[in-house]
Amino acid sequence: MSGAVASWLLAAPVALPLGAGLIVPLLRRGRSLAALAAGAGVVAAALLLLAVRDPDGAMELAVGGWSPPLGIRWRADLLAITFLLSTAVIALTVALFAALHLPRAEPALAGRLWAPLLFLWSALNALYLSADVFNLYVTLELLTLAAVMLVTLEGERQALDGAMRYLLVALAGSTVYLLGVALLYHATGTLDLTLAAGAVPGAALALMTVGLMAKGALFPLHGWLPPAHAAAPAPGSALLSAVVVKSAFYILLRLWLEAAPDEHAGRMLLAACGTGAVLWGSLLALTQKRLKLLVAYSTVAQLGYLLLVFPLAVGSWSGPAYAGAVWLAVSHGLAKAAMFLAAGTVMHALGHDRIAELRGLAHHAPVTMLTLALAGVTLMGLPPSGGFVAKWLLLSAAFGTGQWFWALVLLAGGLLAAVYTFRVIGAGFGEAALARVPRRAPQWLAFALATAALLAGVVAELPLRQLQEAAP
Amino acid sequence: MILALALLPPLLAVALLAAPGMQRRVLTATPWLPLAALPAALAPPPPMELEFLLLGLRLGLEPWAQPLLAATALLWACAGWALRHGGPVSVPRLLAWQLTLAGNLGALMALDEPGFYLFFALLSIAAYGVVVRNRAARGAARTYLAVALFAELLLLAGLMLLALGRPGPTAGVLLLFGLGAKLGMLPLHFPLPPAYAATDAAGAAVFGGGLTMAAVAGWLRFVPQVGTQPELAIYALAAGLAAAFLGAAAGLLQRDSRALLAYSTISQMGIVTAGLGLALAGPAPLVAAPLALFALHHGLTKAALLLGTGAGGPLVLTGLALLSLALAGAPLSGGALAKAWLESMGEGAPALAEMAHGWLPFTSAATALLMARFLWLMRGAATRSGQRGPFAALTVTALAAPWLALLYLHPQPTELVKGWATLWPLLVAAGVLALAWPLRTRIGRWRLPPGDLVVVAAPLGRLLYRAAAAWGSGRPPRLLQLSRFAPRALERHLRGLPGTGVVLFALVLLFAVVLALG
Amino acid sequence: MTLQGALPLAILGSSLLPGLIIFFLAEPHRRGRTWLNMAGAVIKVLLVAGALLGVYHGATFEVAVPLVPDYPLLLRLDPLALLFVSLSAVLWLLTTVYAVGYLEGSPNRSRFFGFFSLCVSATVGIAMAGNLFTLFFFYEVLTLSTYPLVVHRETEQSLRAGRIYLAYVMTGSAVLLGAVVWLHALAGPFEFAVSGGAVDHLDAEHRPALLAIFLLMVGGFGVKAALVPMHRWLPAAMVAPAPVSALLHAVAVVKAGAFGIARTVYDVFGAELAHDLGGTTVLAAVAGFTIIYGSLRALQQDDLKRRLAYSTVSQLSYIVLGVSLVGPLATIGGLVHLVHQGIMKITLFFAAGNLAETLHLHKVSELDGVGRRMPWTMAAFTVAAFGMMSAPPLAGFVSEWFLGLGALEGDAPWALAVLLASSLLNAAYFLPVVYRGWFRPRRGPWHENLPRHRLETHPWLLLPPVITAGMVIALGLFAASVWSPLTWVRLIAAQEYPL
Repeated sequence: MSGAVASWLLAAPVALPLGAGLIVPLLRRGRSLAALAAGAGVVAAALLLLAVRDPDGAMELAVGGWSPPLGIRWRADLLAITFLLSTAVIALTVALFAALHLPRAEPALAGRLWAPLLFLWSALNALYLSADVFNLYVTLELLTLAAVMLVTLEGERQALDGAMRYLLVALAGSTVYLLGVALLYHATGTLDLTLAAGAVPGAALALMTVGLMAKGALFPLHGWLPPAHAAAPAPGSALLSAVVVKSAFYILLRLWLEAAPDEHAGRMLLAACGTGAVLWGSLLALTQKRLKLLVAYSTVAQLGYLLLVFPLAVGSWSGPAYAGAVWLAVSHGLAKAAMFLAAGTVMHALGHDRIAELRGLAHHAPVTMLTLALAGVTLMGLPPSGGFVAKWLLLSAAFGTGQWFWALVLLAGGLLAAVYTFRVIGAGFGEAALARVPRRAPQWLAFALATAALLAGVVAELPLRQLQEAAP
Repeated sequence: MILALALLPPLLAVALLAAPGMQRRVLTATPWLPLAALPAALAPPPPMELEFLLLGLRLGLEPWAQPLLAATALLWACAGWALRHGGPVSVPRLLAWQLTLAGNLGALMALDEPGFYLFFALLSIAAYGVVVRNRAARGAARTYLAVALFAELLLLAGLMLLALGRPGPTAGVLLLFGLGAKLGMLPLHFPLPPAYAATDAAGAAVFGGGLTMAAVAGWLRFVPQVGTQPELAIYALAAGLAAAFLGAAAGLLQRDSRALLAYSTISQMGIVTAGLGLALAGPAPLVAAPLALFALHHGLTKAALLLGTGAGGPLVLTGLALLSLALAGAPLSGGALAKAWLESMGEGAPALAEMAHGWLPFTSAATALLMARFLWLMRGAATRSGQRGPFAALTVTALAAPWLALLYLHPQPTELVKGWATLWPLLVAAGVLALAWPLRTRIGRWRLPPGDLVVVAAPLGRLLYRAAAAWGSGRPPRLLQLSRFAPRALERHLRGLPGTGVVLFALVLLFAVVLALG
Repeated sequence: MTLQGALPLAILGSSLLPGLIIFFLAEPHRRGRTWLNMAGAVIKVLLVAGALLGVYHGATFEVAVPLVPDYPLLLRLDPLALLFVSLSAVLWLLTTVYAVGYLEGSPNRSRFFGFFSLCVSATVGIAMAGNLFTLFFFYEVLTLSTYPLVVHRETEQSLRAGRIYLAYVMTGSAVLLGAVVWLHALAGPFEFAVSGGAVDHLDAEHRPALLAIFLLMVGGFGVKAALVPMHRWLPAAMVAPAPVSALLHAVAVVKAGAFGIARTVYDVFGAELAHDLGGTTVLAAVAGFTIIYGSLRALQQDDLKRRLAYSTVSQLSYIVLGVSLVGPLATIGGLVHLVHQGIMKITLFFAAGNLAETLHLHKVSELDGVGRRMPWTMAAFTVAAFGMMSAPPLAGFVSEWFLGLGALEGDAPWALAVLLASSLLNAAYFLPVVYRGWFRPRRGPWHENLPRHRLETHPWLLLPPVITAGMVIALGLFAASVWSPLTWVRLIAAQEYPL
């Protein structure tokens, strides 16, 4: 693969949104077009990366020609490409939704959305491609700032509250993370993950992990997520819940599976936190009165699932567990984005999102209703969705390694998800008029995302096999 | 083919009844329908197998079954004649009549276990429709149906054991009671007297005649397959003799003539039960013909007597007297011949046979007394014209048929003609009657409700049914009510900034410790 | 894609594709919808007939779609699969006719028929599943696609019934999923065995785990199969429209549970291993209890559909009992009852639906004299009721005959007693209905709900129960002929117990 093309491909996911984000404030009209064009470019680049991928290694790019341990190195292995591609698909669809839905629903926001969205996307892609811990810190900060911008977009009191809390917790987390980075550098003399593999001191790992948990809203540091995600506008919430919080998980994966693969007790602790997330998040989701808060707490719970991969990825089962976790992240991203977009439609159509008063939705907005249902199917981990396939793999790993306790957590979580999902579905039946008739096109976009989550269950065999082989 | 043809007319009638307005024509044809079975009875073909029907239906007639089939056909013909002239018949009852007829004929011809069960179940369940001719008959019919259903299940279990190739005492008991319920085998006898009393003469005739002959045929076809069962034999013998005497005694205390005849059936069938017991006792294979002949004689005679209860007048009374004598085993009557042949049974267990044969003449005496009471009850019955013809026909058949059957079945029938041996029981009965005559008013006041045990059994059955129907009305459990308040408070704490800070700090410590140790 | 592989997919697609298309049809397109439904149903029946002929002559039809590494979606037409598939196909056709008549003038028909078709697709998927993964896959899809049908009427009662349904069924599937994955963790990936069990080669050290897995699996399947105490969703789900109760809750969903149990015993564990583990003993005890309990509860119900629901609870355990009394005769009895009970029960539900839809009659106590007004409906009901009472020469007698013989053969006479007692109870709760309908005079004028037709009700409502009642008679009367389900089931039993 010729060097120039490779570097172009690696740079594009970061450069395109960044460039577009810088241009967009200067434009008066056509902002959405610019954003969409950039987004399409990212999708294309991600697809190409997948196509030209070298199965045994990874593509690398030293930014500016400076190689590590001094320079920034970007690396695209299968994990990075998977996350790049799924984020790209989700972000593009969300952007399309925003372009179609916002002008009618919230005209004031329509223009202001693009810059934060594009910056967020660019930071996310840079995060995926980063290969050293300091880089990750930088991208994390950028990501947080862009995300906070998205939360505060609406300008309401609640949004500002939630954004403030998000910012403070995220900053606290970053500080803790940075401490960990410092310790790591001090101990190993390098910041690069592959170089530091196996020599990461426990304290550094602890600090970095906790910092990431704060940023990623992993139990018990999840408190900031529901108010923030519920207060953001629908496209913003979609991105936040679907991909932004996953970035923390991404880094945790790299840390614990590649850089520090032998810390078994720590993995148990992580999974214990995951169990807490599943149970606590589901329980609270059941008690919510607003749809967006319910979906946000559902995110808290589903993130808990992801943490279960750590004790399961051992021995011969590391392949299936790894593949399952990654696929779960992908499917959940698709489904959660669909759910938040649908919630946005609901908000627009009814003027509120109180679950007790959702009557009439099934009749007058059946596509949205179906979107919520299909997304729910993925969250519950039922066939034919990607969530089911991922759950199957994780369960296999749980039973295969003899750790049946985590299997119980997975199964119980699915049941709890069913309870809160069907609570929403059941509330939508009945006859009542809607305040406004929502546009059809945005609804179909959300539906497409939910269907993609289902398709992720059907076309999964090849990607899963490749992920299994690529597992660390 | 001829065998299947016998079943065709009643089934066709059933189909025709579905069309409106055909009822009168079917009723008119009813007496002729059973006669289609006569060719099969008189010139039977070898057994035929209809493999595609049910589970492989086999129809055929053993030599002893042929006279039974002929007798059944004639009985149904006469009863149908009586039905036709007995007043209006509703469509459901006519439907039930045809189905009962089909079941009766089929049961006599069915050789395989599922097939026999099919026809016998049809017979006994459809008989409900024959019995329930008006509202008043409903109670008796319902009791009959409940016990009939129960007995069907016993029969099914017994037939299943035979089909599986496991004949044994269990199968024997099941078959004995399953079929015996129709024959008044104690203690399942109690629905019979009320049922006889509740229905009309024609219905009672087929009930008493056809049903009993079919049940005995079932016994003769299937019970021998269980082999030699000494304990069962003793039980059957004892139960049979008990029924013979207790049945007669209970019958003496009846006021209704048909209920009395029911008890007479119980008593006579007790003799058959005893005979079956004798057969089971010994190693020799069962010779079915004597029992079949007895059943034939009894069936026809009883049916004729029952038809007579629907008619009246001096001629009828004479006929009834003749029949009564036959039943009691007067010399040269069919009854006498049948009983004489019965005495030849029991070669395999001579001790038991001796005892049984000792008691047999006394059953004749008891029967004679019973029939005397019957004739007394019938003395004032009013003449009913339409019923006399059928009664006469059936009487002639009843008196003649045993002779004809005997000629067919027995190599040397004249051996069985005994003079004194059959006369003295009648004289004993006459003597008892003479002695008791002065006390007749006082004795006449003694009563026994028809069905004796039914006064206890029926209310008990109803109680059980109601208890089952009313037992526990469960409601589906309320799904768990989540307590919503505790988690929210805690969550608020966690969410706040101070809370987050504390958790952050604590978590770092926790991870550090775990990683250091692990 | 060969013909061998295309046929299972075609059978699946013949209801899946029309279903998906119907979702997008707007409500007024009645004719298009009906045409799609009927075409799909007829095509499915034809395909199944072809498959029957093929398998009878020794052909194999199999297709594998890779889904998860090592666990493909495997569709295979073996004799047991074909038994269930043909039952589903034939009854789907009849129920479609019935549903079109029943829902005339109702709202949301596109939604209804869309999910209806999905349900049938899921059912045939379950039937054709060649491994546990596929079976579970379609099992869950069935759950999801039946929910909208249960809550179709959108009343408070329907929604509550839907919640109860989900609560039970999803818990059952969570248990089932855990058990299935656990088994695969022990035994690796496997397909259903042709003869014997797929896991019967595992060593004795795994025995305790195998027993636990067996019990969890039959427990998970047992929720849909309405084994006590997991049966409560079934009477609650009777608020659904009659076509739903008829096909789904009397045939498809509950039979899927029983079918799952049959597959578990015969093709996963193998009859011998299941027996050695002791699992079949537990299963037989639960089934026996359910039989009696269901019949007793049926006795208590005045609402006709609830009475039929409890009757289903009881009768379904005949199948489970037959499967758990290991032996060829019991197997024949249990599996043939799968077919017979489905047909008898659907007749009863069709008739009950007719009474409700035409004359607004829901309770047994209201049925006096209805035989005069709706003779064909009551006749169909009567035939099916007698079939349930195991009266010869009807279909129910044939199943009971073999179940009884199987009980005696397996040295379990208590099972025979249970079956006979249940027949008696069946008589106790069916005969009153028959009696009232035919022999009692009516109480007052009828509340005519539908416009009067020349026939006693809408022709599309009348035809299906009459046809299925005829089938009840034919399947019993001609049980020994070469085309009967009994003969097919004998084939299956011969494969499972090779001598």
